[in-house]
Amino acid sequence: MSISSHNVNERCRKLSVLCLAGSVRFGQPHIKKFALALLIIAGCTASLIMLNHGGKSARMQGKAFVLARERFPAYEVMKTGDVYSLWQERRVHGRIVVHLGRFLHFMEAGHSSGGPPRIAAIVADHEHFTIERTSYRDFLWVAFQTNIIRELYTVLPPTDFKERFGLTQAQKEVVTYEYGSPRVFSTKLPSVAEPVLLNIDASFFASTDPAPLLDDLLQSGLQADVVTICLAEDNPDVTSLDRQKARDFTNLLSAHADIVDYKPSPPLSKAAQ
Amino acid sequence: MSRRFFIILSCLTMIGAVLRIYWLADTQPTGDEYYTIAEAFDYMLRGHYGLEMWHHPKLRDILVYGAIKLFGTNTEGFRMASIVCGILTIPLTGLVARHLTRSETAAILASLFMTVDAIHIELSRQAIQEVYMPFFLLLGIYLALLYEERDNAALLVSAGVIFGLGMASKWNVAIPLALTLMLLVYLCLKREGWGAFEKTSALLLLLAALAVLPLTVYLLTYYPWLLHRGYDLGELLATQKIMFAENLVHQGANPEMLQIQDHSPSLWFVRPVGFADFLMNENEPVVVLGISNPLVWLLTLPAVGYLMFRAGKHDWRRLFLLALFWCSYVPFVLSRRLTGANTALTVTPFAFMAVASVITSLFREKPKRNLYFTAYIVLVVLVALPLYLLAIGKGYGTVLQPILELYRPMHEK
Repeated sequence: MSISSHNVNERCRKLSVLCLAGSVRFGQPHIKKFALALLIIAGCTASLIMLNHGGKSARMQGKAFVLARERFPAYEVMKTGDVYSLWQERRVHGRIVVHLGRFLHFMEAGHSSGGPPRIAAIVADHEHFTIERTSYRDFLWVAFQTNIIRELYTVLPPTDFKERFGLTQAQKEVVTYEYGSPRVFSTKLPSVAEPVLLNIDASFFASTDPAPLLDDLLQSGLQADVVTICLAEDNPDVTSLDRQKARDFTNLLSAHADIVDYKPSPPLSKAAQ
Repeated sequence: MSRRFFIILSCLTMIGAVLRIYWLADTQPTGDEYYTIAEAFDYMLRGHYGLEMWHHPKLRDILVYGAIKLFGTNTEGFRMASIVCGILTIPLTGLVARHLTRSETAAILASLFMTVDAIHIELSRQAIQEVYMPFFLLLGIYLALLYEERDNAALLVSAGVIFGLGMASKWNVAIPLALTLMLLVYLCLKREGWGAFEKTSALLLLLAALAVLPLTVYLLTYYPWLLHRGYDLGELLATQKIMFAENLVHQGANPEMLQIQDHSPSLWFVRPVGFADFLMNENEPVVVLGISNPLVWLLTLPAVGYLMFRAGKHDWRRLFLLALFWCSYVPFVLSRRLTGANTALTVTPFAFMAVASVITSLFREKPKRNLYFTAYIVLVVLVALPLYLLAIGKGYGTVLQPILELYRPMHEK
């Protein structure tokens, strides 16, 4: 034991002498270069870690529930735009949204200024991104533009999926990018690691029954902090039968979730601003 | 640096500044610029990419937004970053050329070519990122060469930051960065009188300053995308792949504009090429058309060939210049996507240096060299004058109209 300890001490002494000799022999500038290189690498690594952390910190969510295991709150909303309003009220931000429905709700709204473009008007438009009216046509686009959504999964009924993309039944997923941000279209609930905002639009029931959807949902492994069932009363393309099925789905879901009737408190346009 | 060289370079810079600023206040934005302004705000305030060249890196959005905040929403304000980069590229061309050609005359000539180059002038007057690249890559190379000369680590670190900003303008700047790193590594390994520790320290510093640092600076320019929208670095890297894929196939947002541009990089130095844009000035149509000066651009390939023929194995400066030219140019020639003459700005600094170097060395032997030299410069400037008028939008409705007609889209003819 003592011999081993002596050897270690001897090696340390030799190493320190070597380092000292090295610094004298090689001169100060090269030590400085070495130290500077390590400093740059450490600084760069630290700044990238901070950037990554800053990005993740920008995501805002409420208490998340594992839908298959926990009893969770679910909001029944009347109008499509109310979903956006609820997300705003809950202050969610930078999130993955899973939307079930026949429609994309992604029509781009025009600029508020009319006539030929003027620089000041462009600046004003983009400096204060205002939503004068959010409707069933564009509420997901608006949520994407206002950074509630960072990644969007749209689950379409298989017939609509095929009609929209002209694909064979074998292909179940289409991934597109909205200027670099992912939009995924599929016929099945996705597997997502982080809690999502889940919206089930009444239009989804045009070709789906409530019970199988509930089974799929409870077996999906999805976690969510805000679950909405939207009756889409503002959307003329949604039928009364679809809405009735959505209500039936809510009744079935009440065995697993606390159903809350949601009504937006302020007018949507003010809330959006 | 001799006093004469400094004075002439300063004069050229001032002339270049006047050429790039004249009539700018009256010039309304082009379609590209409208989108650029909107996108700068979208990116900085909400972290969104937009329609205007979303597949390119994002420094332009940061600079245009900063310029508008500092200088206002007037026509000079949002173009300020381009104007500054465009003007400073003139002396930088001379300074880098002086290092690589070892001739002040050649350096001044290269700088003159940049001063009067119509495509560079046209793009220095627009709020798009094309003139950022030559500025950042030349400044990066210059600082790296100064580091090699003075062994001052601060210069190398500055070069790394500048190259990072260059890559954040367009990815093409990675090519001169890689070549500069390779050159410095080669010179470090070749250096006599240094032991293993000295060389290891120097190599580690080179890798930290010219690889890790530029990459970090590049990634940091995406901070609005991450901090506003909640993305993480993994998602950023996934998006970079999407942007790269788009870059390989990008066809432009406006098919009509494609018809009025030259899109074959293989022709850049074979025949005059142009980059046109269209805007309205009050109720008058204005066409801005930058056309390459044939007395300079068409000499590029013979000059580069001559330099290759004459270059000695140990003449690292000339070999570096040749490598910069070919490695910057060949990827565009081989690329299958449409590449406009605007992109040539990452190649032209090296082309101008090669032409200037060869002309200077050829005239050096001649008994009437001053006469030849003056005659050539006068010819270059005479050709540049009408090209300048076209580049700033003063050719429409004048005797230069037939040249503009060559670029009119097919459906208007």
